[in-house]
Amino acid sequence: MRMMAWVLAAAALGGCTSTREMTAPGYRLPPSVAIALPRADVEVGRISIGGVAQADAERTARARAEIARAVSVYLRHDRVSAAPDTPRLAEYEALHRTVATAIALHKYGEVPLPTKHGRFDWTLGPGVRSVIGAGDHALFLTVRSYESDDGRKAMAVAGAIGCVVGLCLLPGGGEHIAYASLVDLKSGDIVWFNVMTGGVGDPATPAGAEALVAKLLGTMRGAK
Amino acid sequence: MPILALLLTGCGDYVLVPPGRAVGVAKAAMTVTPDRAWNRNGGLGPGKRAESWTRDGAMLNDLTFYGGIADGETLFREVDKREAPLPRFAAGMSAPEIAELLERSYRVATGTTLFALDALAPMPLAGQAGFVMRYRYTLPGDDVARRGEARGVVVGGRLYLLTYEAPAIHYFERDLAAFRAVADSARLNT
Repeated sequence: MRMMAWVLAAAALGGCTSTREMTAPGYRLPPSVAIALPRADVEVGRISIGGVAQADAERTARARAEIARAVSVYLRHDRVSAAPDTPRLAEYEALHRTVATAIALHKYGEVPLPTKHGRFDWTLGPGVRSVIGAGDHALFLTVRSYESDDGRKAMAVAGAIGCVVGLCLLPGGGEHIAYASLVDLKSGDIVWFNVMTGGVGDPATPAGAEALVAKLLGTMRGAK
Repeated sequence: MPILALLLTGCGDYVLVPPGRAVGVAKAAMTVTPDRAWNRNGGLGPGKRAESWTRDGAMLNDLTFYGGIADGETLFREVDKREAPLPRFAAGMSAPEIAELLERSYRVATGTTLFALDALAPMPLAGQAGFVMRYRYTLPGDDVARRGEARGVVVGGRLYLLTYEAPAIHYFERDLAAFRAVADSARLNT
């Protein structure tokens, strides 16, 4: 049970389903690039009225498998390979989550950093290459999909009623946020990044995972 | 204390701190001259006498100034004063006791059980006989191993402290020189 920084990021970015991409200067993904795929960092579960998230292990495992399958299908024309699943990779997975949350808060959210104005230069550091192994790039994915529990839904209803008398408190229908970062393995720099807020279906189902992957990776090759 | 700072202080506006210019910090208790640009969090700091700067985001590199913590005061704002009160600074504390104060403050404020002091040694700060401490910790639910370095001194019964924290992977080493440049430039406005 925990309240995480990503909850703040999701709240800062708003509740509607949307994506916002960002690329490093000069970014252009070649047509036949080798992309390594670390294990997708996925949590699916429920969130309480206080913003405390509780992961569902069974649904998380299903979502992770469905998202991995959907990514493989989506990138079927690329030279993709699975990165070895090691404890060291888990450390980079956690670092990616932190970097992605910082990008979401400070590049897209309402707390911009003056030193980042006109720049996109976040990185995982050059050491990521030794962890990922082969490939030109690595595609890191983080997905957090939490549906509201009953108390939070009740608060949403009460909040909506409160709006009638001018007192609105709408906690929303859940917290959904997903990050995708394409990392240049020569430098460790994030050269393309996308964040998606709002749900597009249950990622533990084939259709939900496919919709999420299509929306999240849709602009990776620059096609908008 | 990056994530806790984020949760405690909310999302205040950031203001550019340009390099090469002396600037008062932590309610003007100290003056420092950074050698590169930082972003100053204009919101509430993690403590009454604290101010935080970052370069890439509070969770990626966090420089916090604690300016003149007086006898009986805490480093951070209380999170749960009734059930888990924060430890308080005492004017006569030695460097090892201040290191323990920092560790216990983190343990109480964040709930972490993973905090280790790696080194503690004498080092001047602002021309006074101070100390440097190095430590590492992981916050609950965060899973990112972080390292920290702190420089401090007690002058006139008040604690002046600078802490720098970042993920152990890449970020800590990359920005350590920037922190040390700030710490080496510190002057106390006592």
